[in-house]
Amino acid sequence: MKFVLNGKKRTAEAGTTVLEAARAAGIDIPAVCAHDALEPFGACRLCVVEIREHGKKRPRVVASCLYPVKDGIEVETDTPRIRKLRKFLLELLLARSPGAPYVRELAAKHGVTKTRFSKLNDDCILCGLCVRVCSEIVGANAIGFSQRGIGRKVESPFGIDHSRCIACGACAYVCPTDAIDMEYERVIELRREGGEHLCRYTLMGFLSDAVCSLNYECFHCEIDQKFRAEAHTHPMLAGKQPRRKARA
Amino acid sequence: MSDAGSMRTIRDVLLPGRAGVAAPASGGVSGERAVQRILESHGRMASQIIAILQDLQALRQYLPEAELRLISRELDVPLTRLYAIATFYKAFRLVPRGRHEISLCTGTACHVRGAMRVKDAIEREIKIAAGGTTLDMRFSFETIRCLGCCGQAPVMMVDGELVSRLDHLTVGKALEKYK
Repeated sequence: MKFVLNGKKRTAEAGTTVLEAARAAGIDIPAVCAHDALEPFGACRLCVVEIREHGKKRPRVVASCLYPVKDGIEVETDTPRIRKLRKFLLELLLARSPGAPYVRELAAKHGVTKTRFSKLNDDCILCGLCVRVCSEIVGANAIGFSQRGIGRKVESPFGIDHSRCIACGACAYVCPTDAIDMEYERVIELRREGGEHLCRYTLMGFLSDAVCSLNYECFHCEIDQKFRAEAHTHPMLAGKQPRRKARA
Repeated sequence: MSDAGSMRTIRDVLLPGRAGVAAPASGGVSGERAVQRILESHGRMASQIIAILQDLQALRQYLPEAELRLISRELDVPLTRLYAIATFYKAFRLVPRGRHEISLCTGTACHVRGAMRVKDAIEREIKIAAGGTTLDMRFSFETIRCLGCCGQAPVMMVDGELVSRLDHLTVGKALEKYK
């Protein structure tokens, strides 16, 4: 695929998204909800870019994380129109999570320090990273979205059912704003359920039938330390390849 | 269950009847059979999930948790997904409804003719706030906007039947016949 990116001619494989192509070319596009190992989601909208298709007069604004590169398109990642849109989105994020350092820093980086909207003080920005890690990578599907609009939030089913959670902590790891705290409640419950006391790394699928002898005090455990040290990231994410191009 | 690797481990460990994981539908065999019939009528396709939930709600007046769990297992759709759908659409309800459904109009015409007084009177009579269901499951009460017969304001609908020209003094009596 041949296309133009910020005035320069580029090529990319079919199925690559504009965001991926731009990042490969060393162009920084802010994106909160994009993650190498996850399918694109299009929740944060910060990755908007202007795209002019061949023969069209007016450029369109699209979310680059979801937009596959096409032959002959012209992409602009940093125009006044795009900057204005991003600033507006950052103001909204800032109003939602004024207490989250990640949001404040990101906003400040783009020159947004104040917000015209009333503040909500919810650290969760609904980027969906935790939900997608839990379903796409962990496969546990322990948390998901519920409600809609202003009531939208991340929850376990019926708000209380965490029976699917394997206490891997991948959700808390990927959360950019640290809105998720690992409650050791679930770990304690694994303990109480009795039976075989399978190691968390068995539940995650790394070890076969390892039994926990430390009563789930993983911070004491050699296995936990080994995995953490080797992975340089959350073990669940380290075990996975970056996402395959789904759309050819 | 096509997913290989780590997926299988989690499923194997967590799915078959461990503590806290889905017990069979509360209604026993007949409840399960009803759900199975609904699933069959939609070809057991996960893509038909909204139609399936609609059928279940038509049957039960709400979506019982146990039967959502059953559907989740049968169709291999995560419960989080079902919960997301059931809470996203206002048409789905996760709490049981009463035997009789009262919908009181609080639209403009009814409002002007004293619908709010009628609302207070109903709330006093059945001892729940609008939007709730009585503990004895006799009534569910909600306010709605317009039933399209403003000439008879204020009006309410009980079990699909119109009750018109209400006033707060007599509305209690009008509800007596619904047991």
